[in-house]
Amino acid sequence: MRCYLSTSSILHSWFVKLTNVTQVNTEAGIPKHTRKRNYPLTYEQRQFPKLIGHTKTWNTFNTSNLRDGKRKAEIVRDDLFLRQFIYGTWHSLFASELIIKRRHNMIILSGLVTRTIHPRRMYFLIGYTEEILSALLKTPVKMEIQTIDSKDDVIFTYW
Amino acid sequence: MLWRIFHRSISTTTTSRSKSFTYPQHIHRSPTAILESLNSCAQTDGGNPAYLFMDDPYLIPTSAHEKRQLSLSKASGKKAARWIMDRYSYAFFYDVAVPSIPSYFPNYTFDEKEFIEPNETTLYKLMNWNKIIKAYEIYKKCLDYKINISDACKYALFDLLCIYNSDNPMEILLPEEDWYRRELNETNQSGLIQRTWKDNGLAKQMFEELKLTATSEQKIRLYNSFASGLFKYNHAEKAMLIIDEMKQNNISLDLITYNYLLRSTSLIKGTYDTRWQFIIEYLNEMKQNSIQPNLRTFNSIFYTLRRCSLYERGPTLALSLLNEMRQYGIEPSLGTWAHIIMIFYPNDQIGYETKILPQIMDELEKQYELNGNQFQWRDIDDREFFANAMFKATVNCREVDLAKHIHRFQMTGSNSRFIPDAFKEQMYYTNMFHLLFRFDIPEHVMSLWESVVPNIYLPSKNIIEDFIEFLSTWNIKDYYVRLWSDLILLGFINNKRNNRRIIERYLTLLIRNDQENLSNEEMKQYANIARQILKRFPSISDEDKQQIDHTTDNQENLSNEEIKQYANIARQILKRFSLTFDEDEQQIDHIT
Repeated sequence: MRCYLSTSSILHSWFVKLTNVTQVNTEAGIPKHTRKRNYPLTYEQRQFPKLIGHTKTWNTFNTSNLRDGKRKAEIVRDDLFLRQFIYGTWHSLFASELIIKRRHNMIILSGLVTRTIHPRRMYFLIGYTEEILSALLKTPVKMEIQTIDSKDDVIFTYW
Repeated sequence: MLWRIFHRSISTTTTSRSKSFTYPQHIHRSPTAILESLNSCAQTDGGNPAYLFMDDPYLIPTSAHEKRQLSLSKASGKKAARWIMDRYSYAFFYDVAVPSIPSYFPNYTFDEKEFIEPNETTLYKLMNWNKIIKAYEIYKKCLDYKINISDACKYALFDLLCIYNSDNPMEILLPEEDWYRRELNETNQSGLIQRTWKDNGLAKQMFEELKLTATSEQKIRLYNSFASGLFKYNHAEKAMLIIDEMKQNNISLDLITYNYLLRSTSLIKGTYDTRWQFIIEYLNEMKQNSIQPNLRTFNSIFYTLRRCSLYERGPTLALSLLNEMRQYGIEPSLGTWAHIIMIFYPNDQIGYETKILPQIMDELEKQYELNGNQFQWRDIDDREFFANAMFKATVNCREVDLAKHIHRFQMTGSNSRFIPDAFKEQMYYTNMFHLLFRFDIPEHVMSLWESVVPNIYLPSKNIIEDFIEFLSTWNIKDYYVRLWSDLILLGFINNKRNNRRIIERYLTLLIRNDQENLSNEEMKQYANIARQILKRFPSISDEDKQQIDHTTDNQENLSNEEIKQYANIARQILKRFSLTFDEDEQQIDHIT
């Protein structure tokens, strides 16, 4: 079911009722069709958020939300930090969302990386990321990345 | 039903119940016991790249040069991270780990102002942070300001000065760098014994100073440390003077000093017999002072015997030493065996008749089983065992089975960690394959080659040349095409001057006379290879129809004649196969 969240203060007042599409008809994570139908979507983006739990999984795997799970807030905070850190350190190299897996006390980061830089530079980044993230989060951090040729390879459809 | 009741009553009557219940003993395990037992299950695997590398074809190195580059760039990334941690250390103190992990914290930055106050706690802190020269300066300041420092602190500082030769100890390298430490530490690559002791250094100054005020027990510690330091850094003459001084003043020697003394005998005495007499003399002295020898003592004596090369009594003495060791209940370590191998095979010709190397391997396997299928690092000399064993097995004994036995032993369990750096590994595998290519049959060699290359061992140019010869003598046609892609992967097909012999040999391999009946498939593949060769080494002779842009790049490394040679050879290949592939030739003409 659609949940209408107000994006305007005068959306549901008694004397004005808005009907413009951009403020009434929007839903998070679901893009609208473009006129030319050339907006690229990856497979993950095409699976809209309402399908999470059905045909789409989350991007982080941890046990904090199970019964007696610990440290829910800290894990979310760490996840947000990790995503921003990787986004900033690996300059437009990641072609997919970062997948964060937690096993015992280890954090394992996975993702698809484009081959725009030389393997030497990539290993420099890997060594740097692993070391500095381990020091910041005080847990062993490992990266397990996979390389793809270019960002065009992950485009699934055009919307 | 009845059977069950019957069964149950039997079980209660026949078993004797103990009146009291005793808890089983708690087995104390280290924090990493699970990891260690898991590690013992995983053996060295040649099918996957080292764990250091990411499991992606773009990021897996295939040549020795690349492997070195990538592991060192990862280490460089770690160092960059460490630099940031030290620079912005205020950001790294939030701790969620219980217990806290010290390596995830920035190194304690050494603030000059903090340590300016000369007192004992400062000295201890500086010594803990490995800043020994600074500690000595603060010590001097303490003496000037007449601040009291306990004797324990003074003697600890003196010990450190002797151990580190009046200098700060070297920084510990990261594991990736440590693997290549032989190239990174340029100073002593030939392995010669050089005297590096600093003669009028801080250690000597402190020695003179402490000598005046030392009590007799302190004198023992003082003289022993000083003598050990002198021996460690190969200043044998001065060390002997100190030892004489000790004898005059009736100061007893320590086990550590004895060990160093025995190890440096070859620097003190010249001829082999005098060396052995010297050793016997000091061993008797040890016995008189009832000092029990340990593994290090015996390894030092073996080391001295090894440096007496071509000594007739050497092997017999070595064997009697082994017996002594067993009597004392000390198990010989891998280092012992390494020295024994070098004693029994002093150079390339002698020693084959003794057949000691197979016996050593059998001994080792027995020891391995007794030790619960694992070997521990017990002595610094253990690192030489595998390199020495393979060297002698291939050069002296020249037995294929022996070499394979050693290799199998090295691959079992975690024995591969006894090859401590890249240079020794290169030596080990180079020797092994030199032997195997000359004396063994393809079925065995090819399986061994594929198990080791390219993840564990990356062959050098000489081994590749031997490999190509091996293929040509044994006429393993199926492998020729694959060899081409292997050569490209391993980085041997490029414009460098060094690699042209490999390309020449490969091409002569393809153009052999006994290749009349080739299937269509094979001819297509060979034509493909020839096409690639022509693309990579395009000729600029007059026969060509078009100019190419690439020639300007290639010309720096290869001269015109050589390029023409390749093109000729490749054309030869093509002519033979062109009967069926006219279209391909036209394509190639377009390219050139």
